[in-house]
Amino acid sequence: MKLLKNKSGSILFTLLLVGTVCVGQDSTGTEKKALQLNVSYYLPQNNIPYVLVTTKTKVDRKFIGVKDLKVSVYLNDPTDSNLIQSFQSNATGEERIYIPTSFKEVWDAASSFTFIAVAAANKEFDETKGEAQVTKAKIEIDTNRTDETKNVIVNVKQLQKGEWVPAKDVELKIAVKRSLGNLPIGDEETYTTDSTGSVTAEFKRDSLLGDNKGNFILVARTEDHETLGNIFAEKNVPWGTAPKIDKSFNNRSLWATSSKTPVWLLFMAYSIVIGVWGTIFYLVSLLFKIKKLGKTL
Amino acid sequence: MEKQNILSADKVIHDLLPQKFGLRGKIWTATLIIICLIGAYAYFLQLRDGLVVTNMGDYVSWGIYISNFVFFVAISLVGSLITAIFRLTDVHWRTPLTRISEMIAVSAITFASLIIIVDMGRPERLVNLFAHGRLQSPIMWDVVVIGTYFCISLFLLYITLLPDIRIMIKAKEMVGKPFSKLYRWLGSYWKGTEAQEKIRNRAITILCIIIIPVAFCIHTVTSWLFATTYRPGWDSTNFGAYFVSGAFLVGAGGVVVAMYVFRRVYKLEQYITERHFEKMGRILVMLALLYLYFNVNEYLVPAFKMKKPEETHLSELFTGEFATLFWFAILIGMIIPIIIMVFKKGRRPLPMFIAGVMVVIGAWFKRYLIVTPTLLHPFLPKHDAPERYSHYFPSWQEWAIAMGSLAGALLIITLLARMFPVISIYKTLTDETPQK
Repeated sequence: MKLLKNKSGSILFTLLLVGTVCVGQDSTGTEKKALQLNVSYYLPQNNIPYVLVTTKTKVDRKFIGVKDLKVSVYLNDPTDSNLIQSFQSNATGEERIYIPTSFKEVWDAASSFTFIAVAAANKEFDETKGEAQVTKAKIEIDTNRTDETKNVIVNVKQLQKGEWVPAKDVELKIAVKRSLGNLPIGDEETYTTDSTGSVTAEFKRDSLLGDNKGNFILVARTEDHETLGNIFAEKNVPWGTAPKIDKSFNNRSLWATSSKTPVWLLFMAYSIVIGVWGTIFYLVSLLFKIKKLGKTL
Repeated sequence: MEKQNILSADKVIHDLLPQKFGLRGKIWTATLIIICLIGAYAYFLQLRDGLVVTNMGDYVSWGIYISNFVFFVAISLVGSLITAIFRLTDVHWRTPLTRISEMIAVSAITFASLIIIVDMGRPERLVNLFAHGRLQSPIMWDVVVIGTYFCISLFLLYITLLPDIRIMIKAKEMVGKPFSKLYRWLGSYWKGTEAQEKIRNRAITILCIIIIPVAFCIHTVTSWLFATTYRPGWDSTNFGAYFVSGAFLVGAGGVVVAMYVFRRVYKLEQYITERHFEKMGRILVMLALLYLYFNVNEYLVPAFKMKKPEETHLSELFTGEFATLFWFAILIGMIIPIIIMVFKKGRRPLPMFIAGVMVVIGAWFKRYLIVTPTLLHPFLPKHDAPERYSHYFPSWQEWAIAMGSLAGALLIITLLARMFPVISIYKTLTDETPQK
């Protein structure tokens, strides 16, 4: 019985292996490469929104941008009247699309939209679609400060039937804007809004370097949220420390110019030089004394 | 008894007065002048075409010139060892050696000053060092201290010569005319009175006291030119003492060589006796052991830690490109001379002369090894540098200038020995314990 089980297992494995190889051979022969067409919605500082369209394909286990691909971006329906913009993708495979003013009425009237991108078929890729469903939303940052704690209060609201209502259970990142990235304000990586669309996070980064006046920028943002997309807001706060600019460059030091020699070095060097050369001059005076004695004889 | 003393004094004067060059002396002097002229021509080429005639480059910017400079500075230290230290410690047998060591010191420090100018691509810019010099730079300290040591060494040689100059003026029939005017110009005012002698003795004592710290400074500051630069092989707190001990060794070695040569050439066996070689042999062994001790410190400690940049440098010295030269310098410069001189038979004149020559030659190559390999192994990796930058061998112009400077130093000693007694006549006559 055990032998039979082993045999049937081996047969099944062989069949699966052969089948996989056959399917693999078929697919490599005729199919075009797979294209990823991503559409992301961005709203910086509750201001002018834009859509970022990215085209990618896998080459040698890496995703790289696809260039020279004709892509059309539509609002709600892929029809000519809803065409926002067509473009030829560049080497990076990324294109930032701003909504034209001709769509203002449509944009103002509705709360939710769908952005649809369509990449036209070519020799390498089939026609590919990508879309992003977006609900209009906004983020507001506020702060309060007591003697011991500093809090960042973030409110997220979304538009529903023409009214701004709290957006609950929205995952947010709250951070300080730094030169090369964002630094979380506390131990938490993300924060989630409550039923009032609000979240309060304690600021735990003491002695953080700010600008010349000690200010730095707080950032609250959603990242690839299903309905809100990527929206973020910033606020300048005076919670940092002003950098102390090193002005010692012009001080007296060992690495300064000759006119800025340290006083202790001047004192030591001149003391030694005066001591030694004073003695030499004294010796020369002794020589003159000897000479004088010799001439008097 | 009185007559015998007078006769002895005449013999001393006759034996120790400077002598005209014989055939060998003339050939020797002519050879030195020819080598100097070749060096001068090479320097003319360097002045005309720039430092491009050398094989120095971006990495080895201090080549044979600077190692030669360090060698000259080292050997010049002997003036303070024999004259000052021996006088202050009341070593009676020093008399036949002091003048020789003072002459070596003056000639060596003269060429140390000159060779540093040779290393400059634009020597006329030396004036900028004084016009815009930074007191923070060890190079500035070195210039000041070399100038000071040169003056003190010259002063010491001159003031100890005064009584001998009077003797030479008196014995002009024996000395001959060539330098009589020079002698009168230099010391006709010296009458040898008690008052003059008292002042002269005071001056010599002060000079002997002052020359010791200045001599230590000159070599310590020279070592700091290296030690204050962050490089493998130079990054050491020990460098000052290491250089000073090496300088005492090569200086003493140089005196031993000069003692032997003058003894043979001027037939001074009654004045520079075997006893002097015996004593100098003991000192030389002690100095060689001391320098060996510092060498062990300098190489063993970094070799024990073997930090990566040090590893490359030390491997090149111990087993790499410079291994032959390194072990040659250690063996010839220290170990073999120690083995020779540690035995009584080895402290006789000829073995001592051989040991002295070994010490001097070993010391010259040792300075080359201190300067060059380190420059070839910088801490920062070499980037986009031509292959030739990774090696250094001096060009013929560099060799000619370096050899010309060595010949120049020997020429100064030779000329000084021609003009002045190599052993103080006055001191030999007045010594309480004469060696004759």
